[in-house]
Amino acid sequence: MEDIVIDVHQMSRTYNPDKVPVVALNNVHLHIERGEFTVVKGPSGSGKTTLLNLIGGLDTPTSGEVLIHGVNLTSLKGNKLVDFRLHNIGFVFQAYNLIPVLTAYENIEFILLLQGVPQEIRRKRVLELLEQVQLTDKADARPEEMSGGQQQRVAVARALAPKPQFILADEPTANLDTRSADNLLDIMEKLNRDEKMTFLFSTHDPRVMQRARRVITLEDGQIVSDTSREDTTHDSKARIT
Amino acid sequence: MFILLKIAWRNIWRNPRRSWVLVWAVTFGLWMGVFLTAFYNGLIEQRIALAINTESSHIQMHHPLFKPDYEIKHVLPEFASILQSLNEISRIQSVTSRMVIAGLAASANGSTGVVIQGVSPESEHRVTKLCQKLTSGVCLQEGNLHSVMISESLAKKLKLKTGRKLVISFTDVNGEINSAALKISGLYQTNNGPYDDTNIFVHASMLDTLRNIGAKRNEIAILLQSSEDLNQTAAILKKKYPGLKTETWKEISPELGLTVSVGDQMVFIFMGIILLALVFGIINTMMMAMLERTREIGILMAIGMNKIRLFFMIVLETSMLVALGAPPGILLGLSTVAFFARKGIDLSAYTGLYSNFGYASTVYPHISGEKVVQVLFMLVAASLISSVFPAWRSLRTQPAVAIKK
Ligand SMILES: Nc1ncnc2c1ncn2[C@@H]1O[C@H](COP(=O)(O)OP(=O)(O)O)[C@@H](O)[C@H]1O
Ligand SMILES: [Mg+2]
Repeated sequence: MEDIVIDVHQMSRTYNPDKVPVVALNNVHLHIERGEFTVVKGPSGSGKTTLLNLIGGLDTPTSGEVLIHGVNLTSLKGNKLVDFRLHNIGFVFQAYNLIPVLTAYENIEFILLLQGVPQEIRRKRVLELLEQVQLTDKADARPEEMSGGQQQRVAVARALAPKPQFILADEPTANLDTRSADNLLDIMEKLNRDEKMTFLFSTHDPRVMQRARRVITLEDGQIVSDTSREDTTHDSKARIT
Repeated sequence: MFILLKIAWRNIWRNPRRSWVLVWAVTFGLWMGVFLTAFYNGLIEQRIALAINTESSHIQMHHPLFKPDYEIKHVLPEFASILQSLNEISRIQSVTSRMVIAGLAASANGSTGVVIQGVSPESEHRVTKLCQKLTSGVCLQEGNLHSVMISESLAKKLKLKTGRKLVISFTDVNGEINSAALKISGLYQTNNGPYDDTNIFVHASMLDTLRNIGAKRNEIAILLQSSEDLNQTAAILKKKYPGLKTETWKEISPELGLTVSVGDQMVFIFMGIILLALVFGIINTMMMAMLERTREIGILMAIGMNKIRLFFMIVLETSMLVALGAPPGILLGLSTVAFFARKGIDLSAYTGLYSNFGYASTVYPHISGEKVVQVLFMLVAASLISSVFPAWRSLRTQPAVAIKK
C-alpha cells in the first residue's frame, strides 16, 4: 500500500458564512505521500494559507475532511489536537516563527521539552539539528540577533525536532533575499533526501517552484493543476488526484 | 516545567518599564495595606486601652440585678471582703469599689442629671487614673470629704469653677431625698465628651455618712496586669462569686466592641479599594501584554503548546511580578509602621472631632504578624485572580487567525 501521509477529501472552507461569505477553498482533493517535496503555488488570495492551515489542524474545514496518516483531524478537539500537532506536524511560517525570548538552541529544545524528551537525548538532538541547519555557532543567539534566513533555518530545525510526519511551510522564503532563500531550500531539500522528511510548502516565487518535485497550483480556492517532475534520485511518486 | 518559568521570567523583562510599574503597584499596595491596617489597629487599640484604663477597667462586678440606671438598693454584699480576696489574685493589678448613684447636680445657675461616682480616691486612681484627668484644682483628698470633681464641660454648663459649691441630690431606697452641698475641688477632662457631661466624682464614704446606713458599694472595678488574661480571669471570678454579676469590658461597653468591628470594616474597605485598583492594573497590563503577543501565542499553540501550559505560563508571569513586588511592600509597610510606632502620628490638627469620642490625637500604628499575613494573602489572591482573566482570554486565541497578525 502506498504510504499516504496527508489525505484531503472534498474539503471546502468558507470564511464569514453568515455575513459576506468568502469561499477560500472549494472542494479540494489531495493526497501527499511520504517523502514528497511538494509546493503549492498560486497568486495571493488563492487559498494557499487556508489549505496549509487546514492540513495543519489550525483551522476547521467547512465541509470535507483531512486525514493525517489515517487520523481524521476534525475528530480531534482542544488539547488532543494540540498534542497531535506537537507529535505529528512541523510548522514553518512566513516570518517571526521563533519565541523571541529563547535562544536558537532553546527554541528547538522547547518542542522536545513539550514532548517530555529526557535531557541527554534532547541535548544530542538539538545539537544535531543545529548542525543540520548549519547554525551550530548561533546556538546561543536570540532571534533578534539572527538574520531572517537564519531564523527560518532555526524554524525548520524546530519543525524537524519531533520527527513529525511532515513539515508545512507557508511561504517560508517570502521575506528572504535570494541567497538566503536558496540556502533554506538547499537545507530543506537535503533533509527531504537524507531524512526522508515530507515537505509541503507554499510559495508564489517562481524560483522556489523550480526546486519542487511536485507543483500544485491553486486558483480561487481550487486546484487547477498538479504536476510532477521525474526525479531519478528519489523514489517518491506524485500523482494527480 | 522549568522552561515555562524561564519563558515567563524573560517575558517580564521584554517591557521592563511596564513590569516595574506593576511591581511597584504591588509594592505600593502592600505597603499601604500594611500601614493602613496598622494605623487603624493602633487607633482602635489605643481607644480601647484608653477606655479600659480610664473608664471601664477590665472587669466589673455588680449585684445581679444592678442595672444601668443604678437602682440604689442593689448593692454588693460584703464588698470589703470581696475586695480583700480580689487583691490577693496575682493577675489583678488593682481593684477599687464604688457607689454609683443616678442623681441631680445643681448650682445657682441650673441643674442637670448626673451619675454620682462615689469613689475611694486612692484605689480609684490606681484603677482609672482619676487624678490624672484633673485639669485644674486638686484631686479628691481623704481629708476633705465634702469635695467633688466635675468635668470642665459640666462646670461650663453650670457656670461653676473650682472652689464653688455644687449641690447633689438623689433618691434613696426608701424614697427619701438625700442632698449635700459640696465644694468643687477640681475639674477634670477626658477625651470622651458624653462621659464628661454626666459623671461627677465624690467620696464614697461621704455618701455613706450622708445616708447613715453603713458602708455600701454597688460596683467593683478590676484592672488586670494584662489584657490577655481577660477571659480567663473573668471565668475564674464568675465561678468564685456565682451570686454576683461579673462582666468584662466587652460586656460593659458593647459600643467599644462595635468600635473594633467598625475599625475592621474600615480596614476591609481600604484594602478593598487598594486591591480593586491593583486588580484593574494587573488585568489591564497583562491584557495589553497578551495582545502584543497574539501572534506569538498563536505560534506557541500551533507548534504544540497546550492550553494548560499556556495558562500556567501567563499566570506565572503575573505571579513573578507579585513575588517581586511583595517583599519590598511588606518591608516598607513594616518599617513605616515601626517608625511611626515609635514616633507616633500626630493627628491633633485633624481630630478635634474625634478626640471628643475618645480617640487619641497621636496614633501609634501596630500590626500583628497574623494581620500582615492576612493582608499579604488578600493581595496575592487578588493578583492571581486577576491574572486568570488575561490568561483565559489568551486561551481563546485561534492560531490560524493569530499567526496572520
Ligand atoms: N480570516 C479570514 N476571514 C475572511 N476571509 C479570509 C480570511 N483569511 C483569508 N480570507 C480570504 O480567503 C481567501 C484565501 O486566502 P489565503 O488562504 O490567505 O490565500 P493565500 O495564502 O493564497 O494568499 C482570500 O480571498 C482571503 O481574503
Ligand atoms: Mg498566504
